[in-house]
Amino acid sequence: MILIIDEWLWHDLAGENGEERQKEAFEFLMGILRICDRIAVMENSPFVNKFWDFSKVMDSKVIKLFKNGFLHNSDKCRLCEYTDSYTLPGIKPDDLYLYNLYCILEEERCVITTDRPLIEVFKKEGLKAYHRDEFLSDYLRKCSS
Amino acid sequence: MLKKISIKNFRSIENQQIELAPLVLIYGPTASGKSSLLYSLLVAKNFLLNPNQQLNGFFNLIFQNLGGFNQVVFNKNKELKIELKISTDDGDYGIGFSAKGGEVFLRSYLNNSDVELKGRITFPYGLNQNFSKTVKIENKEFVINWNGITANISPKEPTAENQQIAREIAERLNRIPQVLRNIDIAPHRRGFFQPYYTPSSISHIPTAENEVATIIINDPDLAPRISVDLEEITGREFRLYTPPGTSTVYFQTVDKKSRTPSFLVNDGFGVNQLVYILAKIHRPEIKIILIEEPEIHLHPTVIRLFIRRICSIVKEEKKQIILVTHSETLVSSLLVAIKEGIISNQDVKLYLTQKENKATVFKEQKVNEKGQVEGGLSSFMEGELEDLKIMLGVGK
Repeated sequence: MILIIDEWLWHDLAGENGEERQKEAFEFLMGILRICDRIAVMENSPFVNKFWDFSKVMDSKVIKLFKNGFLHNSDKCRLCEYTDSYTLPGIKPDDLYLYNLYCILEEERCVITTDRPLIEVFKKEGLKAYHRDEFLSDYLRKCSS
Repeated sequence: MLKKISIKNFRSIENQQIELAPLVLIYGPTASGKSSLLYSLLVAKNFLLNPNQQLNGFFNLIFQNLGGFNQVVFNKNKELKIELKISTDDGDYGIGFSAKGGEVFLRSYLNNSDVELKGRITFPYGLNQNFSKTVKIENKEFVINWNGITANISPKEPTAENQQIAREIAERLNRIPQVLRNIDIAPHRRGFFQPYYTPSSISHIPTAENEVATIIINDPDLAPRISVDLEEITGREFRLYTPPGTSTVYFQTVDKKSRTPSFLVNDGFGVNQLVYILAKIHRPEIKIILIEEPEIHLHPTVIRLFIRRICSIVKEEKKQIILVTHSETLVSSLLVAIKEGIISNQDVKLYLTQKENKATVFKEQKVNEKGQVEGGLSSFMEGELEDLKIMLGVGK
């Protein structure tokens, strides 16, 4: 499964949302490395731009984990060129990259976000989208079993 | 160019075949056997340049004496045979070393005929044996006489056309081992520790500072070439100065920003050893350069510029470069250079060395055009991840 994650990851990893969420976000990345899933990253998207902003303040070990474990890892990261060819009514311009990633990927995929209205828009179109909290709760249980 | 190297029973390498590309980068944990690949090529070069020596002599690389056969044979098992084989576009060449003697091997595919020559030799070997074989090429018979290094070919029917074919076959067969002659190394121990040098003699593996200094002094094109690259990488020029009426040559650098000249020996050691490495790379007769840990004494920004320059040299000057490194910055910068198109992923091979039981394994990590590798660069983050787990209390 390809996981399309939005910017919550960086806020959580930076510890902005508390220690518990920081730990969960770290375990989530470690879990992806352990099992057969991977993430999709779009160049020049709000996701990577946020990573760039946080990379100046975040623990360098986290940066290293993302860079060496995902960005440079063809098994764990599908790196896609920027596109905004696909549009969907109801999606904010900043979130459009999530929909575009969804459209250009052919494998089984889902969006993981903290934006509930966005999840509704995706679900209306029959696309897979989950809230970060619910998804991680299941995912981390799956990873630890 | 070397296409492949096969190594058996050499140091910690039990049996490995390593496919090569114009730029090869080998990384891995300390003492995982990375440098053994480089040293194996120098042992083979030693044989090629001076077969007339005792068995233990082949394992003296001049800059580092590996201690003789008993010390370098895998698992110190004296019953084993060390086998080193190189593959080029023209064919394969191999040498075997054992306590009982040696073996030589040559194979080439000539006009639909697979030609294979092999023979046993004893050390010291004075090139006094002749391994003969009659081969049929384009329905014509040729006799190959091979002494383990050089082949002479004569046609059974000595027509002008057949003589020409024989010359071409000989050229092709002899080209295979000759690749080893064009190998040089920049070992760990390198640099210039004196302000000036006078030319001295040069050995077949010139690694001592006097030797490398002599190479720079004797080739009028070398210092300018080094300077161009050094300026791109460190913002410094490299110059030679000879006081009138002397044979003494001063090695100087000039910081372009401050316009301050200084002796190379007084410049940063990173700059110093870059001059050494660049001298090796730009030797015109050298086509394959082995470099041990080029990142030593270099700031990450300089490492990045260095690897970008290396990519250009590989691409533009058709040199083959094999690097051994511990540097995450170097590997990561290379991957970024691939993504930028400075070098094609087809021209790069990346190997992670690991020890499995006692033996070194060269695990190839295929690189894609986006600068991503199979399996990622996990080896560089193991320690850090453990620290992160502790810091975040993961798994408590």
